[in-house]
Amino acid sequence: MAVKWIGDAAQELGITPLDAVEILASRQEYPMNGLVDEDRFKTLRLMRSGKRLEASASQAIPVPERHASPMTVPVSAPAPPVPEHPPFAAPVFAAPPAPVVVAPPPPPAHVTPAPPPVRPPVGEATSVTAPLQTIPGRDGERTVILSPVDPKS
Amino acid sequence: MGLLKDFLRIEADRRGALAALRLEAQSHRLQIEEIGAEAKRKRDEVAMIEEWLHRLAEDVARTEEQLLEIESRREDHDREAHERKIEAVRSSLENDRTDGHRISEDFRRLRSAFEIERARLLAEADTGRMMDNFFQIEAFLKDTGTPIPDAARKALMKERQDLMGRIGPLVAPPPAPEGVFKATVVYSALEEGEPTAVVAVGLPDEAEPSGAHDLAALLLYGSYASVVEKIGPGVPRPRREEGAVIYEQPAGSRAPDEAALDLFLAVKGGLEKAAAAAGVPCELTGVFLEPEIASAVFPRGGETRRF
Repeated sequence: MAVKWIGDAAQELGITPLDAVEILASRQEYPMNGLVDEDRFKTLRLMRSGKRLEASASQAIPVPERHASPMTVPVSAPAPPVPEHPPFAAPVFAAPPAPVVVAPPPPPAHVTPAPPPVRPPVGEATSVTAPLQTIPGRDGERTVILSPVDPKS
Repeated sequence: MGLLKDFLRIEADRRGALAALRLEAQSHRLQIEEIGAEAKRKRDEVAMIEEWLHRLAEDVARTEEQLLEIESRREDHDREAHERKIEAVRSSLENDRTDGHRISEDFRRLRSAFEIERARLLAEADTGRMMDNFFQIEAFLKDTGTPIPDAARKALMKERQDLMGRIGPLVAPPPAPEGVFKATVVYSALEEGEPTAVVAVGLPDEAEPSGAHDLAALLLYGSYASVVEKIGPGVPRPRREEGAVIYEQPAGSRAPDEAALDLFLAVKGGLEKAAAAAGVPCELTGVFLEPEIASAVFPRGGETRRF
């Protein structure tokens, strides 16, 4: 397992050594010999972005770009109707407003439903301890973990 | 006859009354003389008392002058003691820094040579075989369940000694300097403005960039890690001023003395742990500073270098 000096690890991650010390010490994981193993290096890599945000004090956090298409599209105001064939050539006193070009909404992402869970046949052992009992319910078979309380008892 | 008799009686009465008045006048004259003598005596006493009072007033004035002089000397002594304490704190921190620098250099030299030797040994072809033999012999000698004849034990120990001489740096603990890292950790509670706990220790400068053989960086990072562990993340970073590493922590709702003690224990514990991890003997002494001394030695907002 590769071991790094905490100063080198911090430089590699673009933070100061005391940032790295604070990250590890706040998780009670700082090695007193200053040598960072791979697990701690992964911790530093995961936590460094949060550390930078904390160090930036009260600054606006930029909204990350959305790489995936949104499931909702903004609805713009309808454009004024433009006659296709003007009946006569009327004098134009002012330039008509440019038609708003609305990009067609992206097609909704195709969501593939998850396949139904494969249930073993009734009575088949599904665990190493004991088979789970199933009872019919409104939505299908239901696994019985705790036996229902008998109101007569 | 009757008239003469009356005249004689009247004359006798007048003489008797005159004698009585003379006696009374004499008595009053004596009384006046006594009063005069008493007055003279009192005047003498008053004069003597006035002279005493005058002397007492002179004594009072002289004593007041002496008191003023003593007060002035006391202020001078206080000022001198204040300056001497400040100088003593600075000198102690500077001495700790110098001593620490020497031990740090020894540490760096020993560990660098050790690492170079380890790298050289690891690059040799038969190092792995020798290490394997060494650890097998170690395990065999430590196994108390298997009786070993004396001759065999002697041969094994000799072989172990030979291997130790050849691959020692690979199986021995890393070397540590002979000196002891001694430092005085001073702490105080500043109560001017926002109550703040302050802890300072004289540490040598860490190398730039630091490395695994940098004892100063190990101690600094270890102390800061201990502060974060015991007080929590978000504590102010230490700053370096005139060679001393200074930790400051607002006391918040706690008593400043209590906050100072907690910060001191955290820094001291971290330094001890870091020194132990580096294999360097460590002796730390904690000294509480009077707030006015601490304010003078560690002014807020001075020429400092934040890490």
